[in-house]
Amino acid sequence: MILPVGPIHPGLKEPLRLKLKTQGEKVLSAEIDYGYVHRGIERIMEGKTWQKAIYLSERVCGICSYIHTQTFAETFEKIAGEQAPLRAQYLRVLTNELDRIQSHFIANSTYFKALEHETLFMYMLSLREPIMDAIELLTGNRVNMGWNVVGGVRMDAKETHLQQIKEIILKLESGYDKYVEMFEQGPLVGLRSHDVGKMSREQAIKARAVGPIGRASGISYDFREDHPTYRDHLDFNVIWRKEGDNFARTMNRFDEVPESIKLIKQVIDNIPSGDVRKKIDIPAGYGEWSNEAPRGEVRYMIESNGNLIRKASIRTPSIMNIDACAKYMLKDVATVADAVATYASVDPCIACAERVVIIDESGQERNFDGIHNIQLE
Amino acid sequence: MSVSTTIITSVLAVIGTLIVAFFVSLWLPGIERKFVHARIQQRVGPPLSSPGFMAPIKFFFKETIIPNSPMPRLYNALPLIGLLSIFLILLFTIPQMYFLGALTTVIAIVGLLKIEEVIYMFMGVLSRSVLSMGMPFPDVVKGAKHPNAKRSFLEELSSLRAFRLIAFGSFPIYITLFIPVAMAKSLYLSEIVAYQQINGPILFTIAGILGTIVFFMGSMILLNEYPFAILKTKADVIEGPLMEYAAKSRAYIYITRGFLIFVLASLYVTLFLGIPPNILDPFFLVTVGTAIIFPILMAILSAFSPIFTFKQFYPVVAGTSIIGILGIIAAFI
Repeated sequence: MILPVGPIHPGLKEPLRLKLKTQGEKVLSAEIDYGYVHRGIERIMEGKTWQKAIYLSERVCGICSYIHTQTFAETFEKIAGEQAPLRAQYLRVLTNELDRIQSHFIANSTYFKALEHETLFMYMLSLREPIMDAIELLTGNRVNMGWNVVGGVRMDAKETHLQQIKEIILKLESGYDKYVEMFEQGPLVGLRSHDVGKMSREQAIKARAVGPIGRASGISYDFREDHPTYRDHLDFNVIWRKEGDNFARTMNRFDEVPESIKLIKQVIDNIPSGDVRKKIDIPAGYGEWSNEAPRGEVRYMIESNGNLIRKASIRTPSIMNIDACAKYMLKDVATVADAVATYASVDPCIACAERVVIIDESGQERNFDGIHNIQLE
Repeated sequence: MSVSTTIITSVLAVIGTLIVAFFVSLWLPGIERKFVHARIQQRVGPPLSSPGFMAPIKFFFKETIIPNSPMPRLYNALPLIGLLSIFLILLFTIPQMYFLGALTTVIAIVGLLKIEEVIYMFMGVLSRSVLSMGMPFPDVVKGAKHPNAKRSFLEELSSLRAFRLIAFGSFPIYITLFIPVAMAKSLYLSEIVAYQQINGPILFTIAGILGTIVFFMGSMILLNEYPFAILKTKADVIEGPLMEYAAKSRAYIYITRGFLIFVLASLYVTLFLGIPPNILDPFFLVTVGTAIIFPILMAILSAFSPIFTFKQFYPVVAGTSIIGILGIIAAFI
């Protein structure tokens, strides 16, 4: 039978319809329907100034909202051929890494909820809470931070706040291994995670999987390696694994947290003094910029007439990852429960995904209402 | 003691035992959730009385709704049937009821436990949740009899799982129930109890120890406790067959669960310690104590494990059943 899961379902964080073709309890294949939360944000951005559109970009994703504003701002900075002051760049890294940690915790907690391992689920949420406090301390808000502007960040961080954040991070670091070990060494949770929802490196490349999902399948690439602030001033390792199963995806996110902690410590210890924003005159032009969001590459393509946005396209990581999940991971899964867990292990973000979805392979340009075509290479 | 006094005492013992058991059972879910789950998960947890005591009271006063079901009355009656079957198990283990003969044998108890299990399958078959009704899909499986008929429901899956559980999931507990039978060489509870009063509790034999392990695991499977809760897993089948229950029916489900914990503990104490539930006997406190220890141990085990799928379920059941069979062999030796 075809087992519909969603669009509204406790197993899903956000609305989408998962059609599982099952034979008994075995899942033969899966299809995914989107379109329940499409808001046409790119279309709404058109004809607006960046000052207004940056708030829209923050609302693309409800979990990793921060990286959208940073990428938005950096796209405009690229159009202008300028960079934010170094202190602002450091503060952006700090916020980005805090955001990555909380996003990874919530992603793993969702996976544990899908496995119905409620204890780890609760532990992940309790680990996340101090990180949210740190974000609030820095930016004044927990989710939609309103932190980035074109040319820097909105306000400076106090030294006392930075030290408080460092304390939070050190506290997290000291007790962190216990939780990772619970997952890594736990035999029962291992049974539910090892060799489930496998995706090989070749499949990951074909499906254009990005972020921790691609890295868990052996694609050892992180967009932070190409980002000027990370590349020139900071040191971190790209975490990747070979297994490509639910376990690898979850562990990949777990292992990225200490790297983020390392980055945060570097930022707080070495943050330069100076301005946190500068005025940038934006000329007419087109710019593209990519950043490593918690879920993978997020790309902004913006055309501006110098004042207003003429056209904007946003490519979020979830769309490729969800597609990879439907095509490769949800094939011949032993049980429906495992299929739901596999889906959760991909850390899908539907609100993110519902935008650029049409790959026009014929090369013809077609514009849908609010959805822009992008020719993927 | 005159005959009339004996009758009055017996009636008081039976009624008193049932009432005390019922009252104690209402607090068990709260103990499990507040003192174990919440403590392990580093949160405050619900008030002690909330999950088992206040929640059913609340649901009793909610508006009764008729669920989407081909047979709504039967569907609504199923939790009550389950509660009744458990109630009868406790009734038949009370020593004053041993005159009922065949009804106070291990076979009768197995039968009543089976009723409690089977109702889940019927629940799955009879349930048509709003969620499922809103999204029927055409059945496109190869060889389907009516390929265009829309008949895919989430509850089908839970019904299928309930059927599998009936088929093999409850093996361990049934096997372990026959360890005391093998030792006392009688199916009658009265004789099993008498055997232990002469020879000491079965628990303190090798067969008894093996039986205890298997009984514990079997109880967890019967109670659909984590990690054996595949029947009502919230991530894919959304509470499974129980989803559509509201108001009184939902209250019965909550009461049934707490009561089943108590009854299983009481059954264990009767069969393995030779202490049948009787309010007039001070050893009744052992039953109450076991009823508190059981859910605490279960909660500790379940706190650190995810829900099993059948892939993990089969080996666990097979392994536990083998231990149970070893217990029976040990009982004969």
